[in-house]
Amino acid sequence: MAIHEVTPTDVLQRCEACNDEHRVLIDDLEVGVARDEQVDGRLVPMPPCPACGAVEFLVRAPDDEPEHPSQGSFGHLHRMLVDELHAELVTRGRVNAALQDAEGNVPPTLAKPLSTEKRQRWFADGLRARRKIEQAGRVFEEENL
Amino acid sequence: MADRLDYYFRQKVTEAELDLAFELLEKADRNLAADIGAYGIISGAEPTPHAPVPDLTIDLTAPGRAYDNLGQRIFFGTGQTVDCAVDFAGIPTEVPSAGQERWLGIFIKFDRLLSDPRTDGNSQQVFFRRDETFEIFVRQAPPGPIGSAAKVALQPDELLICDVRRGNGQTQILAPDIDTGRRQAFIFAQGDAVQIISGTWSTLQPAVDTVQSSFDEVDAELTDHFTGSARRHGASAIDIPAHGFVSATNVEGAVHELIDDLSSTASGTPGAQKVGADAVPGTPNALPAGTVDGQLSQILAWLNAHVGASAGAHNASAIAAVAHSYIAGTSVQAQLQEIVTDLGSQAAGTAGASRVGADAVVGSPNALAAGTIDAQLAALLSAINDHLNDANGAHSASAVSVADSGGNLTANNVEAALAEILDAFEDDHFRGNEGNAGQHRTIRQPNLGGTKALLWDAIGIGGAAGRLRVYADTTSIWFTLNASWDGSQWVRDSTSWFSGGFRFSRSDIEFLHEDTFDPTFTTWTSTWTLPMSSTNNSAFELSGTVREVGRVGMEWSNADNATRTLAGGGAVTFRSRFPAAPSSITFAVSNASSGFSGSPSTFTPDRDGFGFFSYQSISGFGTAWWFGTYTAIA
Repeated sequence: MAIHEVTPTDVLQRCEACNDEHRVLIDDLEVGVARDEQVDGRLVPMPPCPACGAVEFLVRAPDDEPEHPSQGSFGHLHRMLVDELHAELVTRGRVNAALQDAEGNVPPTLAKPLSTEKRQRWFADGLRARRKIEQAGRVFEEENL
Repeated sequence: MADRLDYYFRQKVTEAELDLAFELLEKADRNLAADIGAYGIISGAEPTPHAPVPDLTIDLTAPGRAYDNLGQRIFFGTGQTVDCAVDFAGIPTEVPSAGQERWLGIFIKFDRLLSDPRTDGNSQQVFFRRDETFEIFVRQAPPGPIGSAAKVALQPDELLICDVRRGNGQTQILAPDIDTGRRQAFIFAQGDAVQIISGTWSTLQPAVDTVQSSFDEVDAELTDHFTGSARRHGASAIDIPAHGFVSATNVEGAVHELIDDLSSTASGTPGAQKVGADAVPGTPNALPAGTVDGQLSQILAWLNAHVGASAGAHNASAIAAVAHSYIAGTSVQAQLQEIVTDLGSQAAGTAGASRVGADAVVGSPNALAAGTIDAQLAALLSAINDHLNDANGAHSASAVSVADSGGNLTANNVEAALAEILDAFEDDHFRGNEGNAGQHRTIRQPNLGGTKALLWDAIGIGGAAGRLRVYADTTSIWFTLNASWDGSQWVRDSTSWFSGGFRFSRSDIEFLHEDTFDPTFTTWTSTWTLPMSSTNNSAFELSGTVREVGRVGMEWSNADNATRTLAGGGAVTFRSRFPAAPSSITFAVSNASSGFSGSPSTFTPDRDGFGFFSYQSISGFGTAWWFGTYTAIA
């Protein structure tokens, strides 16, 4: 699965297993996956696909990750959408409890929001990422959002 | 003299005696003529076609006089017209068949005309006068072929006036039809019956001294003289009065003087000056009357002026010319035009070249026989065509020069040029007489300069998507499809197709893909790089959008007899190193046990892979499993 649009209220998700598209409310999402006493704060588990049951985990970029080597590619755009959604969830407090301290605070480095500059450059028309279809075709086509 | 009768005194003379006296006198008269031999037509009786309009009669002129062989006198005083349409017996003289003719003989005969009838003593009627008269006979010969028909034989007691020719269908007798060749003209006496005295003659020497012999001698002398066989005499013996510029008085002198004067070439007195010439009219030139010398001088002057004229002498059409060979014109102008036309002719069989002769041209292997230009051109064309069509062995290539206008060769003939080219070719190719003919040996290229040197550009079967290029830069070799390097960027051959390729260097190998359809680009949207010289060199490192699907699975077994929560997990290593940590990992189940709950979770993902785990509550000695796929996106 992959997400193709992030709005203030929801996320457009396309299942990587069955290609089903559906919107998921942001308020239904949460940052972090706990494993015993460990919590990976870069992950955002998505609800199972209503069509096939596949489960997607969105992964925020590592803190020390360099700039994406393929600027403007779908992979690069998806990376930024995920980082922005992750930051939005942190902002909204939609964080796994294991990531919060006793006062309910989260580490300041948990989120990695997009810079204004990148947002203006790559998402001037909204937080959307388009992905080309499989490359067997001759003519350029856009994937439906 | 005549025989005489001597009548006597008191003789009673009878009729018979009186008649006898006349007969004796008449006989003496006729004997005289017969003895002398005089007979024939003396004058008159000349035959002419009938006048004024010729018909089948002829006219005889009058008066006519003649003596027959018996010395009887024949006379008529008025003109006679003789009917030739019938003969004396009343038989027609016509010629029945074409191609034949018939001769008529017109004869005259003595006759007596009885008149003045009286009654004698016996009461018998007698004619007291018996005058001399004549009778004309027309006799016809049988017809015969024209030119060979026989003539009527001469009659002993008749005289032939003339012969007349009758033809088939003839209606008129004209002068050519009247022949007097056999006319029996008057003969006074036989020459050999008259004697002459030749004793004092100096030239004539008759065989006998008779008139006939003398005439024969004269005839022989004259014949010799006139025919020039003998009895010629010198021209000096012929007198001639001096005349004109000839002062001699005999023929020989005159002829000599004439020859000398006429053959004279002395200036001022040439022979031509002695020959007169009348005026000759003409335009533009005319000759006045004068001498041949003067007219020749004038004509020479005109001729020299004409011949010496450099232009405008007169039109070529004014010069007659005799038709010759294929030239039919009768003037120089016409013949020149005809020659020009004939020489310019392109008609088959009569082309101008066929009018021009050419001598034999020796040569080897080809020679030209003597003939016409046309024939030699045909022979040359045939030889050239044979040469050009000769599949092999036409001649040595060394005989063909090379122009080499581009200055590309050292050789100056085809043989040497081929050798030179082949020398250059065979450095990197197999020669035609070797195995793998024409194929490359090593392909060697010098430094081509630039940022990326194009080494190979192959269109293949013509599709832009499959156009292959090979480039080399300072470190790498690039194989591209649908992409060329213009010095600063990649350029698509077709914007309807992706571009792809691969690059290798001493340190890495990289597969390339570009899917933007932009006409130009500087980076490839996706790459797969095998970093051969890096520390981590076991997998391709990817760039661009990456999506990997792989297998993942776990299985649990509860060894306890009570339900327990068991943790399971593992790790996945991506097949290639992602360009960055994946931003999405999706698990999709392929097969899971009935008691499996939830879905595996991921943990600590990075560019090389991720961990996964799951907690399951499993009944005592129970087993649970989950097998499925992961999809990672970066």
